[in-house]
Amino acid sequence: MKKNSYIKISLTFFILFFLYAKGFSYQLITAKVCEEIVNGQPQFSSVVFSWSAKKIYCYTLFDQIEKESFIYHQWYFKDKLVAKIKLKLKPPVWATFSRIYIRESDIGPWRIEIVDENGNLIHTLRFSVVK
Amino acid sequence: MNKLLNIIFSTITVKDVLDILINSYILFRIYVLFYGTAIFRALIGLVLLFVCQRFSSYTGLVMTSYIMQGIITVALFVIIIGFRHELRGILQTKRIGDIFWRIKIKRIKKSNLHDVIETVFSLSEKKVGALIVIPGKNSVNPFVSGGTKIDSLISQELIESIFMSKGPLHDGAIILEDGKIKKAGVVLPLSEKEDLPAYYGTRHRAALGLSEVCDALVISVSEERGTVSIAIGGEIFQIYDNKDLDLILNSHLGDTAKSKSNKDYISYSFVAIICLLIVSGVWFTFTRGQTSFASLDVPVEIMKKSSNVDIVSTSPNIIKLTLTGPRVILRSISENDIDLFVKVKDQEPGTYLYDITEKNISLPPGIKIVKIDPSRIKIKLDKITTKLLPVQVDWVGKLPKDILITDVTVMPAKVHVIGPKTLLNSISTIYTEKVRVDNINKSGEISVELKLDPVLRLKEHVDTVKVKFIVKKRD
Repeated sequence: MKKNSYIKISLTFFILFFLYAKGFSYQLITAKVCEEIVNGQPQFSSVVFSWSAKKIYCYTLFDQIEKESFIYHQWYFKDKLVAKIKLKLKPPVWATFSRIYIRESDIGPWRIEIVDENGNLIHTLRFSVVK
Repeated sequence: MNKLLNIIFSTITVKDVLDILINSYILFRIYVLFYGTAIFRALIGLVLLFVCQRFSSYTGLVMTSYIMQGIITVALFVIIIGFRHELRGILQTKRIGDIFWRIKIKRIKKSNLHDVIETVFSLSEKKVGALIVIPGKNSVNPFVSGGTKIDSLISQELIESIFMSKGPLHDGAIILEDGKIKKAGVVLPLSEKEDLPAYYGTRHRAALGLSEVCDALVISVSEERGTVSIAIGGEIFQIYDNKDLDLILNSHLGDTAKSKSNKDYISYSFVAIICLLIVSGVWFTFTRGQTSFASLDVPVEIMKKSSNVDIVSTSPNIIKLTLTGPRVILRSISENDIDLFVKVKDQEPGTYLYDITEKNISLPPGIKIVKIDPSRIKIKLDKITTKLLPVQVDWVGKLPKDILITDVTVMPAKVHVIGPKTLLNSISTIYTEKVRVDNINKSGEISVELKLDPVLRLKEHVDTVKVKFIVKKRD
């Protein structure tokens, strides 16, 4: 086989892989943990929340969404998964959020892992619930 | 052995030494007061019984030990009742020093022996009854009564005049001591022996009686038959010529008064040492020998051969040991004196059960194990790996209502953590020590220590991380 043939085959595979990967691609623009969502916008984003706030939101904004896909907001309390929320993304730009209710027993360190539908980690948000 | 001696002797206090010395002196005084008497022989028997009792107790002969104890108790009463007269005689002595500190080494001088022997056989020929007391090491005062103080140099004429006269002194005994006739007309205790020959009269009984209770030698001259008898050590026998008497008296008194005196002091010193040794032995038997029980919480030491795996956890890592042994040693030992080790042979990660037996435990000598609780431990082995983990601040407290902590930066944001693979797989964050939010009212930077599981360590020598936070007022 000629050297050019190797290059052609490799290029073909690369293009195919790029197209496949691009099919699931999107860009995370913003990821915030906040107390409220007002008019589709996060309010009082913070890294420390009082449990008296009762609710905590995780707001994410994506850009360059090629096609409809899913992401997950995985809520961990002290390294233990307590909620896995599936959220839809629609092209071209999409903002979405998840919410959990908190009680006094939820005081401690939290993290939210934003992962794609294949389980790849996109971003991690960290916060604490205090008194 | 050295360790045991160290433990035993390191626990001896000044009080203990005083205890031993006081009791040694008491024993020594008992020897001084009672040596040569029947009480002394009874006490020797009592000591032998006590030794037998301790030996049977030590060897675990429970019944023999109890019976011996009973016999000792009864024997004590028997001695007190049976020798009440002798005991009273000792306790009623006029000089308190005789009981507590005085050691009497006074006796007739050899130069006087000739006079005594001549007098005895002169009296014998004349069939004049006589009773002559020559004390041994111990004073005869506790055992005799009455008498008139003479305190005169020994002479044949004086002795003969005492016994030959019809005066009040001729019926009693004379006491020869320090080359002098100390007393005359002394009343001696009578022997209660029933198997004496019929021809032995009261004088012979008196001679024998005194020889039974102390180490004195008593010469008795029979008034009826003119025979000379010697009573010593509870025995009485007849003497036929002055050579025999000379021999016996020399044997009783020694070669010379001076050498005898030196010998006595050496002998008493030897006895004092023996008393000290006996009391020390008994003291150690009582104090070190008394068994007791104790419980100690001993940490488990793990020894592993393989370097492939590490010990992640030991459950439990403290074992409760119930021990038995000498009370004093048990009181002085701590968990540091006991090694409890487990040799881990397994080389693969996993959880293993190991039995704890006496082989795993190294105890001070003389201590035995009664119970091991629990007798089995669980050891978790795992491979050691490194994992890069993000650091998260563990905020606590009550956040002021008017502020928001909008952003936090931790430096370094991630740290390399070394530890068991299984544990690291289950961890995805390393938390800081708790940081209070109560007093935060403006942006700032703080240093915080990391909170790590004891089996984990950091690859980098990072003690603290920097936490930079931004505070905003609520709108």
